[in-house]
Amino acid sequence: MEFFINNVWVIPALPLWGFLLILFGRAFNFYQNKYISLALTVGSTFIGFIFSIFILLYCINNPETNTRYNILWLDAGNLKFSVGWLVDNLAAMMLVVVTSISLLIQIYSHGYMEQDKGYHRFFAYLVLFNFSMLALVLSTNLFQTYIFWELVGVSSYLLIGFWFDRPSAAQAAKKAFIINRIGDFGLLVGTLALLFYSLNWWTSTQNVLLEFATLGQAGSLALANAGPVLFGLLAIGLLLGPIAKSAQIPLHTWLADAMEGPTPISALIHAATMVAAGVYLIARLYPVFELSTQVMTIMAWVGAITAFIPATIAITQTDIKKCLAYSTCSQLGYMVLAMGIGAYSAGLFHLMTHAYFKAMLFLCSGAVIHSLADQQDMRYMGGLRKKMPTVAYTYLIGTLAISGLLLSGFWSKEAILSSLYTQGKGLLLVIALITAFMTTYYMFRSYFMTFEGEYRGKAHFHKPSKVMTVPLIVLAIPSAIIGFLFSGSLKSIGIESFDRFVFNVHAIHGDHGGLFLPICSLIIALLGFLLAGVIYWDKLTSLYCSCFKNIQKQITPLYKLSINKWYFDDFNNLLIKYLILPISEFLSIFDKYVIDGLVNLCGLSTLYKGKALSLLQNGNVQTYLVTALLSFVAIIMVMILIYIV
Amino acid sequence: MELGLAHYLTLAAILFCTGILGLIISRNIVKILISIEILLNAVNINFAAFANFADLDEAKGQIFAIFIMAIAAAEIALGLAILIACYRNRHSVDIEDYTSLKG
Repeated sequence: MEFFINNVWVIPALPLWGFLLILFGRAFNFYQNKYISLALTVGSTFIGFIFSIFILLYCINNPETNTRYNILWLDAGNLKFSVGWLVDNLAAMMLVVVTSISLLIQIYSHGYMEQDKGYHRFFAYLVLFNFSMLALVLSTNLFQTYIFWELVGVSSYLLIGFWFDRPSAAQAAKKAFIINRIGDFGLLVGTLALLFYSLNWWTSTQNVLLEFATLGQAGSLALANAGPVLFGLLAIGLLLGPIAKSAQIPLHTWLADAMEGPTPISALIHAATMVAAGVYLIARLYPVFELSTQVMTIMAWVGAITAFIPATIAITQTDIKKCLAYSTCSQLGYMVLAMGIGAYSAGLFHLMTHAYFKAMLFLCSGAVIHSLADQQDMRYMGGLRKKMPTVAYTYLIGTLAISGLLLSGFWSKEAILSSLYTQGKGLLLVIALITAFMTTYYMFRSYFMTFEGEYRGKAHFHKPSKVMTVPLIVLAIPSAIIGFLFSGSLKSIGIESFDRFVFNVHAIHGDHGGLFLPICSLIIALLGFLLAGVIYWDKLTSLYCSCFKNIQKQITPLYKLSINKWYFDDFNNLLIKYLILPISEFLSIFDKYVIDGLVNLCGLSTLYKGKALSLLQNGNVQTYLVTALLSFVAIIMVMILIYIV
Repeated sequence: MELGLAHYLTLAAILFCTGILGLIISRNIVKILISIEILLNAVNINFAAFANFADLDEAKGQIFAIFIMAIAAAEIALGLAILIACYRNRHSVDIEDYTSLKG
């Protein structure tokens, strides 16, 4: 067991080697066989998965595990930056989540991408992402995190724009990258400010700058040095990173567009792992955030609004992937909300369960899209349950899980709701419950539209291959049971609850006492299911009465608000057009004529000075001679004068 | 009247000034070369005079004077050769015509 902990670097190192081998193997045309790329990718992830399992088992047996190893990387005077790896319970949990989902999605990708001419490139990007994500999880300090934070951003950019010959994909990739840059900028400024206000302490007492283990002390020092206002700004800067990466309002608009990438990517990066990295970073930086109640409140509200608004948008989406994307946004909002109220374990528990069921939902949607020859519009689907039962039933499991109807999502969402209840955050609890209702509604809506009723499309149907359905079945198992497994109900057979495994000393725990809240949330979820069924399930539409039609007319403005995504994109466009572009144009003019003008002035002045001086050079030897002679005489005179005086 | 060091130095100074004057005012290149010879000889007189009056034992100055004569001969040979080459191009020995190195 010690072996796996001590050699944890193997987990990210293997994908890096895989990436380089595929890259150079292809660049120099060493091989043509697709299975070599596949084997390199899946093999590296599989070994990582085995390592992660053993590390997780070790951590379960030794809950106090905190192994750190650091290598000095940058040594510039006082500043000594290190890279290394850190294994604790949180990292072990994330390692298992990332490697297991990656492994299944890579196998699935083989089926999905087999006909694509960019097969090798796809797998090269995929292992690059794996490398960056795993190294991000294992980072020991904020500096290293920032490096891999950028690297996952790059891999995400490359994979969203994988089909770069489609203009929409190229645009979406750019949008994702630029919006993430805003967050990364905040993160960078926050990191530097934190370092600035605690630099003496780090350099005099610590070997590893910005190490997570001592970030709390540095944070309180920075609070003392900077004062609450500056410290709040610093923490908000740090928070901007997760806000962009985890697609929180107002930087959430990239996630829906990111669905332009291949569906396995949407499942792996934009649902299960990378977007969860934001929540992971919040967990790592929790000791800093908890120093400022205002920042925690802001975080909670950002989370709550992000849970609410994308859920309302998802209701009217007809593109199955967009619907799932907004649902991802909304669930990430839940996690950030949980972090913001201090429910540390609940947020991470939801991260884990969500990773499994959302990856599965996306893979199901991928199977549907693949079978219907790239048809993504749910209005042209329907009745697919009879044609692909495996996909339909796994999708149903995912839908039940995300809706909180007794499968894994129920337990994690329950942990968040009960934490909200114990904290007495009434308004946030109401928002969370309304969101839960909408979640059930739009998820069942998508299920009914896709798998029930009559087939409405024209595309020719072909069955998904085994390599695509087997990962779905494997993913369905954790999606169904993982919540119950770690809910604490199985204490008697030795499986502790999640919040005893991953926790923070200051964080709060939800109180499971009382059946009021679970029953309440179940009833709400059932109501959502009924509403969706009445409108979209042919077996329940008999309950549909004419009064719905009147309601539908009355809610037209709301419908417009939802289908236009609350005008976030339009607002951003206006903002860019009327505020940011004029400012940048002004700055560009300033740069062109003032800054560049100064530079040119320097050059020109030297040029003309040279020209003026060259006039003295008239080519007449005697003039030179006289000049030399007179200068010599002048020098002699000066020396004589000095001598006399 | 006893000839002292000052007499020799005065003669050398007069010769030097003559040479400089010739360098500055003459336009003919041959005259300029002659003026350079005068300058060098003025220096030679200085060397020989100082060697005679201040350093009789080793007479380093006289050795220097011999070297300078040799170098002056070489220099005038080169100078005249260059002048002839220039003259073939320009058909002129006027220094005012040779100003193509001006800036």
